[in-house]
Amino acid sequence: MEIGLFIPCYINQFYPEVAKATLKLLQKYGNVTYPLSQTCCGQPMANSGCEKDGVDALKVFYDNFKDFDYVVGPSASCVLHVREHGAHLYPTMAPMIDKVFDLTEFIYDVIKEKELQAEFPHKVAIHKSCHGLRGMRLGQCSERVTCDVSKQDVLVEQVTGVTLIQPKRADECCGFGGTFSVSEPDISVRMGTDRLKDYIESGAEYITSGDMSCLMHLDGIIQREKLPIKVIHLAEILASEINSTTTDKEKAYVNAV
Amino acid sequence: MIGTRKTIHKMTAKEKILSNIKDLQLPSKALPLVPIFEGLSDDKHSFFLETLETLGVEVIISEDKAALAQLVAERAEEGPVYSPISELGYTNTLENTEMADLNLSVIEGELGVAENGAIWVEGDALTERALTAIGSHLMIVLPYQKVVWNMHEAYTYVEPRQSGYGVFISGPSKTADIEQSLVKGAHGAKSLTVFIQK
Amino acid sequence: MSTQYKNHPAGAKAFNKNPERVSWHDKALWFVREKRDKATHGIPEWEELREIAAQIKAHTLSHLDKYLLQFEEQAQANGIHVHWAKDAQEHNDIVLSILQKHNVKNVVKSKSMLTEECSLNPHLNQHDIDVVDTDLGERIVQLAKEHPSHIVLPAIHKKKEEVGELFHEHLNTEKGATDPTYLTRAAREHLRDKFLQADAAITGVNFAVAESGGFVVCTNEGNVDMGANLAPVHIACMGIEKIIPKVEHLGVFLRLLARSATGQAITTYSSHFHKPKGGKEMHIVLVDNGRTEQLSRDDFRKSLNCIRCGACMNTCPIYRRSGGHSYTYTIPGPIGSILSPGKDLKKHSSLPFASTLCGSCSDVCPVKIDIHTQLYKWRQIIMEETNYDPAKKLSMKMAGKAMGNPKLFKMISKVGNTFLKGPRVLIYNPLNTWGIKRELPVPTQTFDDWYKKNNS
Repeated sequence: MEIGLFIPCYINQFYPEVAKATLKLLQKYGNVTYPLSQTCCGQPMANSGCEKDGVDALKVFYDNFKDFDYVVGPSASCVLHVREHGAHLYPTMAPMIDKVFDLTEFIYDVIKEKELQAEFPHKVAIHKSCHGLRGMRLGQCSERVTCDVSKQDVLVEQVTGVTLIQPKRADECCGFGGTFSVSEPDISVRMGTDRLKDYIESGAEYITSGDMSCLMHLDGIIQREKLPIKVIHLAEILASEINSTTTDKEKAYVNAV
Repeated sequence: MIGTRKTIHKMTAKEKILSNIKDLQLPSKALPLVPIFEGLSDDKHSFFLETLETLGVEVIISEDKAALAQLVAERAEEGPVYSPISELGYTNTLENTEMADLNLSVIEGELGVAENGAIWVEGDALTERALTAIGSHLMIVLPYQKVVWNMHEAYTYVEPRQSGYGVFISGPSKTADIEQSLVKGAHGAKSLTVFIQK
Repeated sequence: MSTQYKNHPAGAKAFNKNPERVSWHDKALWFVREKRDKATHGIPEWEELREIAAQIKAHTLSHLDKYLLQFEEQAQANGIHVHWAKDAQEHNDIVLSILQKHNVKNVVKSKSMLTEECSLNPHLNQHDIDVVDTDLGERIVQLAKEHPSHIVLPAIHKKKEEVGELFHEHLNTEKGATDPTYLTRAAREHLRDKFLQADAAITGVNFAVAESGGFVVCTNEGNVDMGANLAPVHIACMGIEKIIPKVEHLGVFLRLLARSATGQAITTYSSHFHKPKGGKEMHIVLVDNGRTEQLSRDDFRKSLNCIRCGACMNTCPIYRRSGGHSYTYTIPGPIGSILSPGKDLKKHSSLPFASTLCGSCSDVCPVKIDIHTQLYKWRQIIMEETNYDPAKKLSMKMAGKAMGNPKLFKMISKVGNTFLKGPRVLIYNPLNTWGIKRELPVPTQTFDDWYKKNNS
């Protein structure tokens, strides 16, 4: 299985540990290649109302990834953009759309992983990123009267030692929203602050998510306000070593932020 | 008449609206069938009664027809009563101002809906349509067997056009417009009693 | 009058000056959202009902001319006068002329966002007609000389202390009284007089049924049943998208509406009007006011499915934290943000951006309007056709160019990285809106660099 590793631009820049964890996880399942000339998916342009300015980014994406069996990235948001808008913005890439996966979705739906060998002895709350949840239906949405499997929960439950914590307001948005975070800073920060309050009150040590962008926003507030909670990408938990000491993971976390 | 005169016709609003729509030539979308969905439990009567209870409705179930007359007579001691049900004997004339003083209106319900506690009232069977809302308190008399599960089923019986005005009433009137605090008795009845005749 | 903000961020900023009030507002609406969840989860066929409702609406919109004509014909056969208005001005003129014909001085009105949309009240006031809004929430905002901040909960932004003050001034209630029951009862007495004195009643319409030529209005307070049934003249005003084909369709929509709006199984009163009472008059005004134009837009047609339940407002994390008055349109929140650009693209250009595109609005919508997708699409049109946020436009163009060129992109990223390693005072400058209340991530060795070192 040839897997193309898609690393969103801001993860490459700021969160290399997330990318390393993703690489490590995927290497269990196939031959992973990281094309060095990848740039971005073009989502920032599209959600800002300038989707045509993002077409060149999609072309680069297509050139880099068209030949793989699967393209996998640790970001539901970026993957959703490619899936939802790739085909109409850059029709050439239409045939490859179905091969592009979010990391957790890939492990759950394609690999059908049942026994992740990982350990993370902490209280963890999963932040259901909106694009993963409502965009890709990775889990049960609180609005809908359906019985959907929360795929990320199932994966995290396979990790030894994890205690899953459910916060109040199971799937409220964190307020990042791409350029929303800078064009509506008052509401964005307020939403993040409220979300963090729910997570802290729930007793979780870590907030984890399949989308580092939500975590970047939340961590921005955590660091500024010195709040007693940490963020960690799902890839890092799913790739964590059995029997590794907590301090190793703490180190990984520090590197990541 | 000499030649043809071009009539300058200013489109009416109706013509304009209809032509705007027609010009779009929208592709036809199919009209779905609406199933009569099943009830939410095995026992619609007890479900109905539970729903009424959660709505804050006082429910009286009686096999005795005289019980209604007795109940209304008791309530008549609190203040003026009006009822279009002639055998109860409260069919005095109604003017707007007198209606405003009504303490209790007693009216007939045609059909109860278990799922939401709504009761269909035919407004034109009433002397005055406003009787559905104007009395301080409202009593609806409903035959026990006239209960259906849900709104789909209800509309197979109810023909709103037959009555110029008809209303599903579900509980006493209420509002939560001040800080989401529920207050019973907004403009309509402050309390609802449902007298179920077995 | 409520302050009109120039755009949503300005309104949001003003609302957020009082964080406690934001918490209070957010909590009140989240409570309604939770009630909605509870009510919908009790209906196993909820998702199927939504789908059926959406299909009925899609069908109706694809034959709207036919159903409007059928409705008119049937309503006339029922003895209802039917009027057509292509815009707000015509609507207001029609209502005024009916009222003038009957020499009406006092009107009671209940729950009509359409008359808000058309600014009917000021128009009637100018012609010496007194209009009293009778829904308690609407009466509160009317006395406060404001506009509704929510389509179902018009005074959700008002604290009981403020209502107490207002009622003390206008209804002579005791000074300092804040008990909701006491205040509601005072309004009941005050408005009873208005109902009894009214020469005409104006109501909105929730559903108009083509096959039977009648209409349904839903309230909890009973104000429609008081107003319309007591006054000699009843005028019902409706947008043309309120038509549904059959009586049986009411079963679908009445199951969806109140559950979505307030978490009730049904509103207290679902009042069906088909014929005027002998000696009285009933009128219906069918209003376009931009609706046929919206119908012509393939991407936005579905917005006409809206049954005005307000669920998208209650669920919207932005609405809850910015308040209804932060929006530049009569109908606030997500649905207003997709209806308004079609009316005035420039004036409402900030609204489609007042969203994180979280998608919750689309999932709560009982008629399955793809609200967040439409927000996305309006954004594209706004950036293309208006001069909204030229700085963003330019930066996106440049960023897009860079992203199409890997070498350039990596170079710029490196420069950015270096900048972020620089002095704090430079990074956290006033132009950096991210950094006002948030830390930026700390750059480290990029994954690119690590990968090149370890894997090639």
